[in-house]
Amino acid sequence: MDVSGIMDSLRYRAPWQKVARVILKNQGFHVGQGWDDTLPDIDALHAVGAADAAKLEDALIEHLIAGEKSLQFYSASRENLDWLLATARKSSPSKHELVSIFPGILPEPALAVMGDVPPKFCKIIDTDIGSALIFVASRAYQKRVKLSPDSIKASVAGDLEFDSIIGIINHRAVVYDAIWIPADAEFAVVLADYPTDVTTDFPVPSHLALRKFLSKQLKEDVEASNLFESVATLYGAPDGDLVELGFITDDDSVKHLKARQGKKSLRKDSYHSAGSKEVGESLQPFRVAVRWGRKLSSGLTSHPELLLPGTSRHIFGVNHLLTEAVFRNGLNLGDLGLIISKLAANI
Amino acid sequence: MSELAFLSERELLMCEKLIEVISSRLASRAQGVWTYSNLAKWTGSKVGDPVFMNCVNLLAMHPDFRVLEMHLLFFDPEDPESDGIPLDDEQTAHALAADGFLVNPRTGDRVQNYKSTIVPYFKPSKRLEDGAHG
Repeated sequence: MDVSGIMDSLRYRAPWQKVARVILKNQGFHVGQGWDDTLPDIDALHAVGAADAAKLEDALIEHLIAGEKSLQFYSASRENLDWLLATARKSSPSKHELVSIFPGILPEPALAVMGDVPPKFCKIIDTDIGSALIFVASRAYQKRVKLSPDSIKASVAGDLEFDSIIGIINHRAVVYDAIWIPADAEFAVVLADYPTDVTTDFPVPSHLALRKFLSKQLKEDVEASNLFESVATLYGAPDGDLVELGFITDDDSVKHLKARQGKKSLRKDSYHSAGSKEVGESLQPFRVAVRWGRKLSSGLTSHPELLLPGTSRHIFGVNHLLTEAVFRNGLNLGDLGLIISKLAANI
Repeated sequence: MSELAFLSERELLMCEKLIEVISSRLASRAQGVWTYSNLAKWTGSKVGDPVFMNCVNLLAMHPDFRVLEMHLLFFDPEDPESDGIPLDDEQTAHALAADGFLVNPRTGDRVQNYKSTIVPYFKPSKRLEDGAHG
């Protein structure tokens, strides 16, 4: 794939500030203010050597596997997982066009002609830390966009004036899902695509399809693991910055705190520290997000974030399972490995 | 203060009041958030008062003062739940320039009419903090 196509795919997929610019810098590319200031001209793209282009393509594929995902964990014996991997290595990729152009993208009109495409097996990638079965799909979703009130004022009857006008676009996206099998682990992780601008139900069709795939391959009905125990583990752990927290105490209120803007952890937040000291063990967390800093070989840092999106129902409810984890700002499989290591103990 | 002869008497008084408020906030454990509206509340002024606005801007921009450092928070228009993303020094410099621009940290694309998406706030300048601790 040429560098221009790789850049288009990266622009299509990766959050700019925390992911795309770090990937490009890490690969030695010039990075300016935003894409327009960064994309090299055609001559510069032609000058990129084949080896550098291949490295950038590998970085893109790692991001397509690990970036912006909803995670579900499935326990399985190592023997069954090895068998699943061996079968996948012998399987031919789907002949679907979305698979044949991977990791490239198709323009939206071409996707619209195809309609919804369920996850199609694309390829398997083996690394030292695990193997990934990659699937490609396509799905439509609604996107809210803010419009300038001035631009449509003339078409509104009467004297109505709007401060804000919201439009809804039916947007169609290429969806990248994966099944990640960490080396030596006794579980598989389904990574359902979950871009930043979609609604919370977006990953559901991918989770359903890949759970069905796993059940078929492992010849048993698999159920996603309950991750709720990890909420308290992550809250109590000393590492990473706690950037979101939902909790209850013995008061009649549900508390939510967020601290993504700065560099401080909620664990050091003076309001939360004083409050948690006051209420002691009656503080019960149900939702946490933790952000880690991971040094890359180039000296740059990635900031993968893991959210366990529980609600107070997970505390009050009976048999109310938390089966989903949300992984944001992941650059590559190293970030994925870090996130999984934080949950593995409770799987 | 002869070099500040361009200031009216009201402006001089307002600057003194602001410096007093800033100094006491700096010495306090609870500094609060230094927004235009909070600085107005703490000095008993109104945000729309040109004397107040001139004085805050003077304390942030004038080379003889520079006790306040202006920072910007970006509220993504496509994310109604945005809590505001602090812009770094380079992004702030581009946004405040006369022919400035702002790149959305999420998409990497330039934001149309970006001035309505950013909100200023202040922090003590290094000069002020050095003075407070020196």
